[in-house]
Amino acid sequence: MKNQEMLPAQPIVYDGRLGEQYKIFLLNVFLGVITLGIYHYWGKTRQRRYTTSGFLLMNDRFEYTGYGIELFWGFIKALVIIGILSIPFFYAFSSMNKITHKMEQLEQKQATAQHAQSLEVPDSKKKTKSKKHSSSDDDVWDKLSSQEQKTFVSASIIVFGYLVFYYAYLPFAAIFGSLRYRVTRTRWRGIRGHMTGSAILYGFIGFFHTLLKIITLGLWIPFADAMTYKYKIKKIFFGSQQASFKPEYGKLFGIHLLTIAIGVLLAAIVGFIVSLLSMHTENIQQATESTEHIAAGLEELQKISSVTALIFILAVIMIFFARFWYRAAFIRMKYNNLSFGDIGFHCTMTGWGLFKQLCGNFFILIFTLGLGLPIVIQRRQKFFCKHVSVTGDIEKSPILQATGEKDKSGEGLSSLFDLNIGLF
Amino acid sequence: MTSSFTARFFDGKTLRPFIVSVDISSTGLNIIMNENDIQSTLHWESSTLQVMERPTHGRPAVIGCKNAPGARLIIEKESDYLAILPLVQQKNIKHSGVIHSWRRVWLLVLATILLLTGLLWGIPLAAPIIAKIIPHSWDNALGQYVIGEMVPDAEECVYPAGQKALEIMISKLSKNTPIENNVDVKVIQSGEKDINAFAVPGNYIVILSGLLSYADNPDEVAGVLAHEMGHVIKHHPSEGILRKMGIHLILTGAFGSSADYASELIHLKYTRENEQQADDMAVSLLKQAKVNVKHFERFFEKIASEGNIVEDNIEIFQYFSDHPGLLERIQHIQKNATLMKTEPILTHQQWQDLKNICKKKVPIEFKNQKEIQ
Repeated sequence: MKNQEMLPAQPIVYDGRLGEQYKIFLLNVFLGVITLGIYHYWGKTRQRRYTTSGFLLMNDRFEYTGYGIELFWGFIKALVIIGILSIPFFYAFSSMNKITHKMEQLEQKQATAQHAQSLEVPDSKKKTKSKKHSSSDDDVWDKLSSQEQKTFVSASIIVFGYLVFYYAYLPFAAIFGSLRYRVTRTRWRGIRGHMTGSAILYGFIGFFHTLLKIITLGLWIPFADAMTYKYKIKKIFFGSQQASFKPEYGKLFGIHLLTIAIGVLLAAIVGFIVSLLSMHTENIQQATESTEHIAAGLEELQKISSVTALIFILAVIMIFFARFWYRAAFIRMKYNNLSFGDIGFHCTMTGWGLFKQLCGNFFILIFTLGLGLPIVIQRRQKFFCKHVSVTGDIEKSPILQATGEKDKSGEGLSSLFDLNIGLF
Repeated sequence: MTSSFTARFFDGKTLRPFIVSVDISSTGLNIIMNENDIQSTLHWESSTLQVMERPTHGRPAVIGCKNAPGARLIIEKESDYLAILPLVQQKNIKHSGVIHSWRRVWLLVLATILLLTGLLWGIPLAAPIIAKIIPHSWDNALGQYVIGEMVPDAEECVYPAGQKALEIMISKLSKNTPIENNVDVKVIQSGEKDINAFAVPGNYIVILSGLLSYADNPDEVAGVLAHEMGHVIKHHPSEGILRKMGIHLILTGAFGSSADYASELIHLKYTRENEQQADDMAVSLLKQAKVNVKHFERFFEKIASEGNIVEDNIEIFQYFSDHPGLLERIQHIQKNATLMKTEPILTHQQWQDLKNICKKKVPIEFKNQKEIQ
């Protein structure tokens, strides 16, 4: 580490051209349309190849060596696997639907019978009757056979389990698989990346931390972020050198608490103002009742409600901005605490800078109806290069070529989830 | 052929760059390295050479070798790259970015826009022709799907005496037409105000029971049924779907789901010409069955005079939901309706049976029809 600090940081330069990005973008869009989307994987590869080759470190370019066919087959494989895994879900879902439909029919029949009865029963007796029917759901459930009840319960468990699996487990596994593919397909000075570890295990880690985030009402977020990142990043090798990452949980947790505190404080201020205003509103209402200045009172009420709405919107924006501070802190930690042997990184990203970058990208995409995507790609790479540099004596690094096998599964799952994982 | 130049080289084993001398021979490249006064030579066969990067916008060319993964030769001068290029097999030339000129890219963009425009406007224009040539099995499948979406979970009315009456009506109307013994008419139970009937692809016609309750006599029902038969004979349902789908096929395919497709099909409307053709066909079928066309005409007038019925919901009035249009249509029917000897299409008893057809209901089943010409 000392060695890294003594040497000047090596900037990462990006010299990709916007014109070329647009050429790729236009070709990809139109070939995608003609091939009904199949070209997407080849287009993605073409775009990655160009963008990756735009990065230079010590005057040497990075290189992306993936193929469109790899991505395509990865997608097909993932589709087949998910399709097979989804069979019990669809079976359970259709069983649930059938029983729900039957329950609805029973409920309808019951409602018709009740209506008919209510026409005959005198008013005095109606009250007692209606009490009885408040538990109509239970009645309908009881009318199902025990076999149907069992089927419904087990189908519900399968459906719930599948949805949890699909939304809380699979995305993590997909992210890991995609990262592995990208790492093994990227070279610098001919040395490629390599990644060990298991996407299946990472899926469980991600799921477990998501659960903890929910249980702790968000307090676990920095630990979850850092721990999941640590698992996957430590599995990455650049050539023969494994990555090392030492997270500073305390620091990240502090910033997290601070951003939440800002949010809570703002919410409290807003709440206080709203309560004050509502008290004032009551006074006005009383005044308008006692006097005849109703129009003036209503005007005052309108002003108050617009001010309240404005304050609320401001509070939401402030909380949103505060979270950028956390995100930038996390990104800084990701790079500043990462090293490959003697080679380290230095990141200077700030919350404000990240905010400007992401908001800018968002508005470019919105106002150009997506046609500004190449501009966003260029901005993203330049922003990264502006804030991240490499430290350490690269020339003397003993890093050798990776010996591990290349990943052959493409990006598979991530294509299904449409996850776009940047390597940098 | 031998020429040589100097280049940077990465051996694919370490991060260290080397300055090497490269000799180009007819069999490939000889890469000569001088390391601590020790000379070593690597030979890259021409069949194994790969262009990893072409020299563009001041970027150096990058040459690789299939037999030496990760080894890279960085060539700064374009002339040196061009000297190597004839040795490299075309399939081994990779490149980032697009090699085509902007002119070519714009030509492709233009061609794609023309293709899309062709799909958007060409399909609707060719819809009447395409509708006649698309396989009947597709029509059938589409029709069954549309019925399932339009009247989900509905039950078909199959009271035997009512069905027999319906069959008599169908048989009389479809005699000597391409759909004789080849049309599947389904009566579906509905609310009293659901006065509707519609034709869908695959020779299927659906009558909602509300129509039977609303009609004063069987000849009014026969008029509506003959109109729907007209649509079937003229392939209007498939034509309408194609016409609408021409525009929506791409948009829905790109941004929508199968539910959106269903919605498109359900909200299908015929053109003014289609409706007129179906009316003409209806008059002709009614005349052939010796049914008084006046009843069909009266049915129109009855609907037009009753403000409580939303005409736009009824298929046969969809296009002519405005009263001038409806009146024009009535006049058109009157013009074609010549006086002749007529008789009711059903007896009084058969009519009563048809009205009671929903006494028995079963889940919808589909018969497979033959191709119509």
